[in-house]
Order: sequence, then structure tokens, then C-alpha cells
Amino acid sequence: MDIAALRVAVKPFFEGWLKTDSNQMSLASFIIFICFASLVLRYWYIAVRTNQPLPKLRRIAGLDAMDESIGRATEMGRPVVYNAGISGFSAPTYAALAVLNYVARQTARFDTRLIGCFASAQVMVVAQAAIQTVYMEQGKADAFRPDDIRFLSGDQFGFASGCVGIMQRERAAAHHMFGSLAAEALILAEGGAAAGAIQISGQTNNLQQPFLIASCDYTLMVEEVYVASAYLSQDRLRIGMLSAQDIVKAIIVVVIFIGAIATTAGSTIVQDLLKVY
Amino acid sequence: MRRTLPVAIAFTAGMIMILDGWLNISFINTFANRYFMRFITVSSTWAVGLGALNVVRIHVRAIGMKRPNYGFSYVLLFFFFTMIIFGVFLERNTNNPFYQWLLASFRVPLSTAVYSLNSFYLASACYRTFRARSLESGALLIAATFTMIGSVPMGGAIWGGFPIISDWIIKIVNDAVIRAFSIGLTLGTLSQTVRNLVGIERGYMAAGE
Repeated sequence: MDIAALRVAVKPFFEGWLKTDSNQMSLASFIIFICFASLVLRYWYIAVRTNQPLPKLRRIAGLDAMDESIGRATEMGRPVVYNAGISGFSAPTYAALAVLNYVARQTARFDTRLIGCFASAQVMVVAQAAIQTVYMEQGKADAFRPDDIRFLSGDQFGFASGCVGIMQRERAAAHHMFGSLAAEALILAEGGAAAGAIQISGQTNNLQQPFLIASCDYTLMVEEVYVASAYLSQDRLRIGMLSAQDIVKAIIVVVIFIGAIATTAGSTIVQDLLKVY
Repeated sequence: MRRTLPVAIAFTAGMIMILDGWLNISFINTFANRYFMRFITVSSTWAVGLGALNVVRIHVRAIGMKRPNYGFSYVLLFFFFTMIIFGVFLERNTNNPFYQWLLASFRVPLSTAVYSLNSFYLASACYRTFRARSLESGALLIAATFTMIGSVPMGGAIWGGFPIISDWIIKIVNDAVIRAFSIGLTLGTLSQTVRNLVGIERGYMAAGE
């Protein structure tokens, strides 16, 4: 196949309206996005309009342990500490806020103290309002303590030392770490372990994953963070989204597999096709 | 309305930003880059103010109610207001020599000290993990042993195979897993974004489930 000729042929169709990126993979990524969006719509329809069964989610030990950790805190009369990572609003933070909603619901139900530690003032403000709403929904508006939702510091190590200090002083029984974490991840996790807290982590930084596996009781493996809200709520719509995600992942795996075979055989056709615009 | 309006705003704003990433449509590009970016800056600034108020309120209340360790709240408030006074209100703002001295003499060494704790914490975390309690932790122990021994010069001196095995674990096994994670993460991010945009995920809203 003459890739150069294909590029020239394709260019007039997209030149005016589709941006190009430095890798020349705009068209490929746009097609993946369209595929994903179409699958989302399909599963939306299945989840909302039909009774068609959706795939079952496999067990995720870390998420099963959420209730256990909150129950432990309730029995011990000690607080649950939740930290939503150090970044501002990003996809991991949204996932962390979804889990925080669940944790707040459970702590409100069991009258357990919830302490939220935040490194982003923006996220803290939103989380405070969301937790307050959850407590009101549970009929426990009086149990909500605004002072327990704390903005500690925008500096990662300032935040880490503040959070570890709170865990030690308040003798946290459970420590949940979700969102985006960096070099402070191990400090937080070891601080929690020293306080005797049961620890569940779910973050998206590949580099920090080994440290958290080493120091936490349960660790969600990177993308499991995004599954958490669907898993905890067992909501059909959210599970449908995961199905769409898995299908796109399967397509990508097939492309990678074909690409690996083609490259091994000395052909660069898959790379060339992906970089056609 | 309490739930629909925030979802509508999130959807419109999110779609504009997504389309700006791919499409060359001038009014979308202008809207995204000029107005939305400005709005993000303004809202972040407001949020920083609210964060500062949160810190002050918690620590003033801790002092007022004489909560345990309330003495630390005095220290925090002292430095908090000192930094603000010298960094915002006095001459040369953040270039003020005293402000710079506070940064260099307090903040930087304290940050470095906390960061350096990582080395000790790493040792204690490894000690807890590297016990062969199960097949998985046994495999981790073996892989870690080869990687550690192979990564130091003495490992190569003991046996020439250590650096080769270590290199293989890092370049082949580790890289393959990291790439698999990256693909999953990207799709997970996409999925999370779509769930937020269409209002399936409302954890970020104070509008309830």
C-alpha cells in the first residue's frame, strides 16, 4: 500500500476542520473517540430502555473492603480519613469524588466521623458541598462537621505532613487514598500504616503504584479507580459505560496485536495507517 | 432543575473543550481558549481564597476551643499571615527579601526533610511487603531481589547474569505492564469524562445522586 499517496488523498477531506497533532494521529484518536461515543450511546440505550443483562463486574477486593474499613472505624469509634489526591480537577479527582460520595454516605449511615484532606482548594470547596448534601440526604445534617473537611496545603509535602499528622493525632481507623498522587504517596501510606489504619488506595500514577502496593492493605490497580463508582453503586448505566470501555480496549488490543505481528514480519503498515492524518 | 442545570453546564463546557482539542472551528477555539481559560483562572483564584478561609477558620476555632495541640495553630496562623503580609502587601511582594528568606529558610528545608522521609518509609514498606506469604508476594520478592542486586555494581561482580536479568525485568516485563496500564488509564479517563459530561457521574455536584 502506498501510504504517501493515501495521505495525499485523505488530506483534502480533513484539512479544513480536523486539527493535526505532532504524531499525526488526530484521525486515529478521533475515530477511537467516535467509536467510544457510539458504544456509550448503545449501552445507554440497553441500560435504560431494555432489560437486557449487562456483563457482571468481577470482584475487586479493594472496593469490597471499603465497607469493612468503615465498619472497623465505626466499631473502634475512630475516624475515617479520606484524601482525594493532590491535583485539581482532573479525571482521577472526579473518580475520587465519586468514591468520596459513597464513603460519606456510609459514614453518615453509621455515624462515623469522616475527615477529608485536600490539597486543592477548588476540590475541597466542591467536596464539602457534596458531603454536606449526602449527609442531608441521609437525614444526618447535624452530624456533618464542616471543620473536618480540610484544605491542608497546595504544596505536596506540606499536604502529606498535614495529612499524616491528622491520621496520627486523630488515630484514624481507615485511610482511603484516591485520585492523583505523586511523591507524597508513600509518606501518606506509611503514615497511615503507623497510625494503625486499614488503608485502601486507588490512584492513577504508574510510578507510585509499586509503593502503594507495598504499603497499603488494598490497592486498586490504576484503571480500577474509574470502575469504583460503577462497582460500588451497581448502577446499570455506569456498568454499561464500562462495557463500552472494554470493547474499545479489545479493539485497541487487536490493533496492537496485528501491529506487533506486522512489525515482526518487517511491515510498518499499521503504524503508517494510524499516522495517516 | 437543581440537577439538570449543572449537568447542562458541564455538558456544554466539556463538549466545547473536547471539540476544541480536535476541530478547527474558530468560534469554538476562541470560546475555549479565551473565555473558558479565563474563567478557570478566575474560579481557581476564588477557590484559593476559600481554601485560605477554611484554614484560618479551623485553626482560629482550634485556638478558641483550646483543642488538643492548639499551640501548633498559633504557629500556623503566624506564618500564614506573615507570608501574606510580606508577599502581598509590602514592597516588592514575593520578591521581598524577608519573604524570600522565609521561603528559603523554612519552606524549602521543611519540604526537603519531608521528601527525604521517603527513603526510610521505602525501607519499612519493603520490609512488610517482601515476605513470601503467598505466591504473588513470593514472585515479587524474587523479582525485586534480582532487580536490586542486578542494579548495583556489586551484583555484576558476583555473577554476570544479575544485570542481564535485572535489565530484562525492567525493560520487558515492567515496560509491558506499564503500557497496558497506560492504555487502560486512557480509556478509563475517557469513560470518566463521558460519565461526567452526560451527568451519569454526579459525585462532583452538590446535587445528590
